[in-house]
Amino acid sequence: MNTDYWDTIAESTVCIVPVYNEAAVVSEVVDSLRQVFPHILCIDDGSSDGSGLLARKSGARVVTHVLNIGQGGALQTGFSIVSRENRYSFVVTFDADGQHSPSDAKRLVLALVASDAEIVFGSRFLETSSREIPLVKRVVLKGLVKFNQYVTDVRLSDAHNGLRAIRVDSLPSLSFTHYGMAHATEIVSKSLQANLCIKEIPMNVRYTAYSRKKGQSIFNSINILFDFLWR
Amino acid sequence: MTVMRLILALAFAPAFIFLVRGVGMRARALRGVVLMLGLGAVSITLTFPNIVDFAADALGVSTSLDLLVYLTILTLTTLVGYVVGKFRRLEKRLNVVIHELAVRSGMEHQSHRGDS
Repeated sequence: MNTDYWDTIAESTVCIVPVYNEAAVVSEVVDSLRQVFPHILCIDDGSSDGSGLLARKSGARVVTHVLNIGQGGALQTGFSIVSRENRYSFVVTFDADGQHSPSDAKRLVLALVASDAEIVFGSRFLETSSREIPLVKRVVLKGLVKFNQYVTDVRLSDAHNGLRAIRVDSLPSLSFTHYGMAHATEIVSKSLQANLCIKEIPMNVRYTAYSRKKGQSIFNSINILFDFLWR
Repeated sequence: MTVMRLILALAFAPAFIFLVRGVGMRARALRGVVLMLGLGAVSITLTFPNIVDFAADALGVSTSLDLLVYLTILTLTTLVGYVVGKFRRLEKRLNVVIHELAVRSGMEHQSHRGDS
């Protein structure tokens, strides 16, 4: 691929990384992201372990929540800043626990640029990548996919994947109210309401002992369900 | 009696939701009225115990003590529901404040850096 072509796209792309107590891995994540994307915006969601400081030292721009409000709230803050600044054309949402690969994020952005899509979701369940997902997690995620399909009427193969690429001009249609993990379902439902063009492409997830520990458990999926139904 | 109980049960659900979730002036006033009525009922019960027997009989509840237990459960449920709802509303407002503060500080910080 032409390097200049990617450089031009990367210049107009910002990676939003919600961070909450990820001191063990955040520097590594930001370092690896910066090799592909020049603009990283970390939203420190009230971390108490100095994650925000570490991300800043690694070269990311960091905006801090004074209290923890949830991953959805952190993404919403990132979206608001990007929309108001009007500097970028594309946004990538990227998890801070190190399970995503910057090269997958790059593929998502390229897919966004090359197509009519307004949002490209990464999917762990397309092709063979799902075999690497631990069994319990696979069951939970499949359950969430079914729930997502029931609530939103959109048939996506992966419902709660943090890796997405979005066109900045679509962000106002995605303004969500769920500040917890239920935001992932809300993003899909808002996309549907706004008639946004959605695309999914396969991606790999690196499950380390750390990301398994921090990832979504069955209990969290119950919380997501209640969060979504309560409001 | 059964019809009376059915009407009470049917009326309780929307009244409960309105009392618990309502944030307007009307809901606030009604919560005050319900609280006053509750306190009034307690005073009357203490002063004229026979009235509770009469009310229990009219509602088809076996004893006045049962009626008091039911009323206490309903009052506590409403109160707990109201407090939980109030906390959730406050949490939402707090989240909005935190979000807005972060956005403003992020924008200000960027403008101080001269749009690097």
